[in-house]
Amino acid sequence: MRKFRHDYINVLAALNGYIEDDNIEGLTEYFHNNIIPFSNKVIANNSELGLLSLVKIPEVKGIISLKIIYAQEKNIKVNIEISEEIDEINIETLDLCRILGILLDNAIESATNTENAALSIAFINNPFTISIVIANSFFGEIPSINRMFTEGFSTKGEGRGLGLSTLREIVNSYTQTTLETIIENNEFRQVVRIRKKPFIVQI
Amino acid sequence: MLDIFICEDNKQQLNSLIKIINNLILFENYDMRIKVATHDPYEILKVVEESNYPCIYFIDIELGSSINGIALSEKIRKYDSRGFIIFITTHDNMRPLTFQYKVEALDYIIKNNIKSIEQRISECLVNVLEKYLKATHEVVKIFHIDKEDRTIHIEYNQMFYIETSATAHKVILHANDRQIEFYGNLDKIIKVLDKRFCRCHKSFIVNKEKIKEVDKKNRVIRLTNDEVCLVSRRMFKEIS
Repeated sequence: MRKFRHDYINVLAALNGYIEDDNIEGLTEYFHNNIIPFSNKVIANNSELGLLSLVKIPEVKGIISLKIIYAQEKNIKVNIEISEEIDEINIETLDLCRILGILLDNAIESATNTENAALSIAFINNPFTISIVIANSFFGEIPSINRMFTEGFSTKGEGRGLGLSTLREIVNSYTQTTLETIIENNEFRQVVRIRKKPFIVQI
Repeated sequence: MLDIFICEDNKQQLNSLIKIINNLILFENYDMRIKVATHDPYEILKVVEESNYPCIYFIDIELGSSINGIALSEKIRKYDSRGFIIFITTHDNMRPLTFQYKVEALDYIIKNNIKSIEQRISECLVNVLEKYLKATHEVVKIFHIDKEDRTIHIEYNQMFYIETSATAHKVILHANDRQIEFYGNLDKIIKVLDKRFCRCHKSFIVNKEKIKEVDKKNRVIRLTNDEVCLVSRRMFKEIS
């Protein structure tokens, strides 16, 4: 596990380097040459991650496996639910990865140090939509949902709360995506629904 | 009278489910009856097609048939969109989010020992009855949307306001502990809501019972949860 941790930190550092230099080409290349093989290796060795092989979008599989390992390192119990193959999601893959990154980072941060820390990730394939559900345990009082989406707001202090307002922006930039946020039974849950076809107004 | 359907492929378990449920109905004097109890999902579907909805369904996940419990539930949903589905599952097949978001199951029961199954079935029936009575007797009014893959039920008294989203044709419902975005428009929504709701602004519908104060200077309404809605000039009278 220690070696793994080391690999993982290196991967993050490399990603960060490309992003800081705005080097999207380099990032893409690094992603395909390093992250995808890395995530495949991890998936094969980690039973919790086995279900991810049903996700046929390599970038998505990559980001989720990285985050899950990160969560497991923090002793968060991870539950994954994928019942069918997911081979297409009707938004830009980069945006999908940003959405997943924000949702999972927030979920992991908020579940860390809670009693029975838990994170659940589900991909649900319905006739008209694919829903991505991310749920986590949390501790203490949760602020109003509305305030969470305000830019700059974070329970961790100023300047850190850009995640959810960015998430809102990405969701708003597509007609086919909607977002739902629920606090229930000591669980914080977000659902991104992506229509398989763009939304058409019925007259 | 609520009809109960049971689908479980293990004969012994099926018999014990029937016994537990019949005992509960008798003991609690519930207005329910077991209509079909079978190992065959297709038999369930045959009867569901012509039943009085909503019904209650206890469904095993692994059915040893060409369809599993989740697929059966998807088919049931086509007829009975407001039925009460309860999955019975082993620990290995437990997928709570899938149960909820795929077929909007009410609950699930893990098969371990018969004692706890009995307890859980009893809890589920209490829950069903409470929800059923609320919906039929309009003790509390419920905002109900049933569109494509999605149903939303939310009590009026849990709703604070609805606003248009930044993207066309989407609205966001702000309720107690949840924020739900869905496809809709405020013109249509205000028509189904009752008098406690007011179209206070082109982009807002507010629950008047949730207003804490009206700020005339800034033309906003502050709600009891400290959220804020805009008010148009001509709607001030109606609000205050």
